[in-house]
Amino acid sequence: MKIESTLEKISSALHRIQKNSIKNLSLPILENILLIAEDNTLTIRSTNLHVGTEIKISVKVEEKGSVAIKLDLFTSIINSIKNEHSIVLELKEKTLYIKTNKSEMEINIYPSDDFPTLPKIKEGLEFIIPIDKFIKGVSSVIYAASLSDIKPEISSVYIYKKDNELIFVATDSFRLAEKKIIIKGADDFPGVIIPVKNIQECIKVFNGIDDNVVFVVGKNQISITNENIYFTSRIIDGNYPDYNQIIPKEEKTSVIVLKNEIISSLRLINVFSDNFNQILLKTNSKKNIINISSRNVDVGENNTDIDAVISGEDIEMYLNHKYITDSFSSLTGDSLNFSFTEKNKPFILRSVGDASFLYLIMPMNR
Amino acid sequence: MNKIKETWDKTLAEIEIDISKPNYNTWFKKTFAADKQGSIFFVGVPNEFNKEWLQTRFNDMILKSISKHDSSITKIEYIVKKTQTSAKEIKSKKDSFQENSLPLQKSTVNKNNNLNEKYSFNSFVVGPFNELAYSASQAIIKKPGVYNPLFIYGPTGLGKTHLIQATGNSVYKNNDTLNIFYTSSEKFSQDYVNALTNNRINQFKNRYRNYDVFIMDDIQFFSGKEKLQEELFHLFNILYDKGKQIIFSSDKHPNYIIGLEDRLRSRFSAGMIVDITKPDYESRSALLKTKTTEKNIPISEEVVDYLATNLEGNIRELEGVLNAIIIQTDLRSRKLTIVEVKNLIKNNVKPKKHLALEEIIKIIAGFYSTDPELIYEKTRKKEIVNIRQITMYMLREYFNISYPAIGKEVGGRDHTTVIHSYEKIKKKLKDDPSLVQEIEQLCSILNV
Repeated sequence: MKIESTLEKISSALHRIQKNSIKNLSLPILENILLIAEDNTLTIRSTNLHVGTEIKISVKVEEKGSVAIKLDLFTSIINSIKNEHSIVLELKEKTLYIKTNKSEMEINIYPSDDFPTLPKIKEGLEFIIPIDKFIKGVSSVIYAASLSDIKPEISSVYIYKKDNELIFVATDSFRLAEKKIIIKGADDFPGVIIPVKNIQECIKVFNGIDDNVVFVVGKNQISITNENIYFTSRIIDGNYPDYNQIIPKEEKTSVIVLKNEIISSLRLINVFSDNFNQILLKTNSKKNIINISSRNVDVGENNTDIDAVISGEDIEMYLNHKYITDSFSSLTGDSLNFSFTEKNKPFILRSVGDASFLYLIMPMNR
Repeated sequence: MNKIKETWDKTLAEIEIDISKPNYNTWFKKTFAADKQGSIFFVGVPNEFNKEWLQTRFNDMILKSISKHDSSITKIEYIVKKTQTSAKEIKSKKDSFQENSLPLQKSTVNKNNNLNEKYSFNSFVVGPFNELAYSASQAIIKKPGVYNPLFIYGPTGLGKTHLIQATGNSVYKNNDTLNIFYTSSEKFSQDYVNALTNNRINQFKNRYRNYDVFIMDDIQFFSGKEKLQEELFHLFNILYDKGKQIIFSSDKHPNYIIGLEDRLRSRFSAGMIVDITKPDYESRSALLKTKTTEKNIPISEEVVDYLATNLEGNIRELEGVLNAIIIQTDLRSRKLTIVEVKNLIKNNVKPKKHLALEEIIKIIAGFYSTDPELIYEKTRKKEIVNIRQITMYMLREYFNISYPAIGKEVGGRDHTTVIHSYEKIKKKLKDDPSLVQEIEQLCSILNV
């Protein structure tokens, strides 16, 4: 194998692929990426057997071939080369030669034929969806997904189509985030459950791209493809909990506060909160304020009032303030609306004037 | 089953020696023998990556090794399946005692076959009112395709859906390689319309034509939808020709579903048509007892007896009353007395519809598509006379109206005329099955 390419192309491709191959103790070859040179393209493949990515870049190919190289090693080499325009990779016997204008390197490599191929979906439904909208939807909810592996359904992001909206849902059973994004076409997009770890890779791989991409949904696998990138992930074969039934339909107390004020109060609260991040929230409709307090045995106590517009009965509730903070990036607009039904029942947090995002939080028991 | 497991274990033992340990652990450790059909051996693998790699890289090696142990195998197929031994539940270390979790309930509908797992035969009560339907479905579970199609009909709330879903679930339990699918006629038509608008009609056809057991609920909603009936007709023919099991349910006998094409009707009649009727007293009492033990409701014999005697409605109503009793028992945290139960029923059971006489006559005339006026008139045309007699019979038999009152209502006739008509129809019923069906049909329309 012998290729020549600009440094920039390789570096940006590596940037997308980074950390895709997490350490897989059982199969050391997976710490590598596979470079395949053929017909003026270099394909960089990486996989951890849960997700797989292939990125194609156009390069000058003098001799076809393939080589597997450790990802971290290759990345640090490429990142450390400064002020160079192009780079030559050449494979001779068991050594890979990397040449630039000023430096020459020799790397011992392992055989590449143990490197797995990526599965292609043979029978699946195809959809064209703008990837930036998809990523926006996923990033709006992803923090709410559970991180444990016990229930694979909820350590995932659930995506389904309803009317003209693509709906993204994630929950760890203590809070739930739902984002709706209007998308043309893709009418019979089936409900898919993608593991949260895999979809994080997807965001990284397609970061900054805003083309239309092709989604293929098969029975156990989903793939996302554009001109240069092929991404594939396993999908969970299961049922997502029927979450719509737990969203409260009525509202007894509605509280509207400024987002900035609650952010700064919660920052202060954070200093005083205990291991469970517990705070007590009380509304006071006479004074039109909400009062947030927290206690930490080691530090002390804190009491903060926030101006608010309150309608309905007064209510008090223990909750995990971390859950609120998590959702700030998804809540657009400058004021937030809390709507409560009853003590110890889940409540809804939304942005005023933005119906596309819904955040449901379960209170804590004292 | 054990034999293929043994073959696969031997093969694995051999492969383990030949390849490196990491390779074996990654690619082979989680595989298992799934099935064997003729010369094809099916290997279950945990994911698509695994499948792809075994196919491209290890296929020859596996084949070579496996054919030593079983020479009949000439081909290996890989299927992605969850491992048979489910992962041990690890207890969450998270301190969750302070937090309530959202009351998310896992939905019990299986995504592949659309069957709801909560419907099983464990909670199905068999009585004289449904035993024929029950035994037909048992026969199908033993041998799919014996009664093809199986057509179950009966009024709402008597367990049709429960029976057909439980049948599907049991068939699946016996043989999970069968491709089973449950759908309602509404969902089917939605699918069809979606397929039409998205130009995916071929995919739609292929999908439905691949099922081994096809169950469709509430088929009466197809009435008058010609294009859908045509689609169902073709689907039916293809599945039927391949000997696939088809199960339908409806609230009426196919002959009485208005707006159903004749060719479909005759096909439905080709297999087995069974009905589920309203449960009798004994079945109701048995039903109540099963439900109360299932839900663990403290309820006295006396109350069960009272409910069984007084609630003649369908099973769904029975369940509604039981739910009301649960809530009341919870509320008062003691057993309910019979007086309280009586009070409850008063609020829970819909009073029987009281139809005005003219209404009844209008409905009967409508059923025979004649003008109700003709029934009141003195015409003695044979067909009208017959309808008039049936009307009188119905009024007497099911509405308990006195002979003179009927005579007066139906065109001012003498009470002896009414008695004659009543006796005549009663006699005719003994040897005219089509008349029996007509009367039954009328009864269900009139809700008696």
